[in-house]
Amino acid sequence: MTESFDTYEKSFEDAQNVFDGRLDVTDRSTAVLPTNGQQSVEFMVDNGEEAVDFAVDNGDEENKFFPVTIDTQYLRDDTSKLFVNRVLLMHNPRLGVLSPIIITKDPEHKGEFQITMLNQPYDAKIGFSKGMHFGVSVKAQTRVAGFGGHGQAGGFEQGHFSGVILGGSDNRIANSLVSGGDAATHDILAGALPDAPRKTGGISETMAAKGMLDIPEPITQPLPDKVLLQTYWHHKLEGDDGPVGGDYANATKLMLGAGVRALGAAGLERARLLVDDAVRGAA
Amino acid sequence: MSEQSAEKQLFFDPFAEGGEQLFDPQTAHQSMWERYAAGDVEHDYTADKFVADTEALMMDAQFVGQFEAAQAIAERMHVLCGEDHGLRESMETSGLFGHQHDGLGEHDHNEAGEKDEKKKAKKDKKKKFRGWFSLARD
Repeated sequence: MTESFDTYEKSFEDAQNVFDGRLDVTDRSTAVLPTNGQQSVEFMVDNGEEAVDFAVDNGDEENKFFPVTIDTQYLRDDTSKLFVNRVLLMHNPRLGVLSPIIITKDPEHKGEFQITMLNQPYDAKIGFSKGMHFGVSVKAQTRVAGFGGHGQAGGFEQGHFSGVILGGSDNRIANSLVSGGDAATHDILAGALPDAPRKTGGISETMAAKGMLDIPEPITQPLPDKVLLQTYWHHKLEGDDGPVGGDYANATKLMLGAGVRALGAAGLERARLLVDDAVRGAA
Repeated sequence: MSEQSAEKQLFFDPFAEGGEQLFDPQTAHQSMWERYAAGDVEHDYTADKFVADTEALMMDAQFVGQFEAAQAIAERMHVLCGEDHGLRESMETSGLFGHQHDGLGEHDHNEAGEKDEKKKAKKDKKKKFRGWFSLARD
């Protein structure tokens, strides 16, 4: 255990004492989240009494989850550095267990944030797996300035690549790309499928929803201002380089590779015809 | 406990089903903690298997060919949408364009980037107009 983790433990014990009524202080206590010695981050250990009782009484070191409260109104200031693109856990109402979440900036609405939950259980014995890391990373890496930016990585332009892959799989998207070109690509990257009843949140969610990414379908929601989120931290959310986040290497390239595999030869041919049509339309 | 501590804080659940988005974790999460305490939570390996399979696929020569074919299709779409890297490289090589001012529109496929571009285009237009004005005045 690192020194910072011990500090956190101590603060957590203080919080537990508060909840047990052994200390006559307010219902909050400050805890320091370990960040591998890089920085100390103060979190409020809040009144998730059951969580505290469970974490302490269970007697199982592996199953300790530490409540971390996020007040979304502070995401717009320096607090965002602590939480954006960092993995935490949250109660998943679909599964009734904890699932990984990641908060990302909403590139469509400056100053606003989204939250994405992977629809899979967090098992404390396994911790944050490779598949989970990929799942949060495709979200994080496709929702940052630069993804889909022309001029990125030479001719390999991932924004159009994503659009073409989806166009090869869905006639509505194909028609939209032919008629809308670049603007339609923007819509598709933002998760707005033609005729869709709702936005999916982004390209990774769209590809997962269409079965191109065989990962439990993530859900993305906008984050309102001035609400409290009850998240949880577990010690396996800390890697060798600090807190885990959306930094899986080549996540978007893998995503596109999976898209190409899902398309198959016939889908690729449709994609080629789609671009031919688009070129003819532009001529 | 103090009076302050007796007040229940309600938390927001962005993923709530059925519209009930405010909750008290002390009660709402109770059954979840019971499941963890009972060891009733098991990892789902679907995504792990998917990543391993896809990484292996990306090492497969035959698939790499297919991936490159898809990439070529995307590049045509890319050119159609206003960016021609081949042309730019050729122009850079021949010294016709400097790297920073190629005029071939490096733009960003997210809305924030697009807004910046629009702002930049407006600014450039203004600049151009001022140029004409000063030329006319001269």
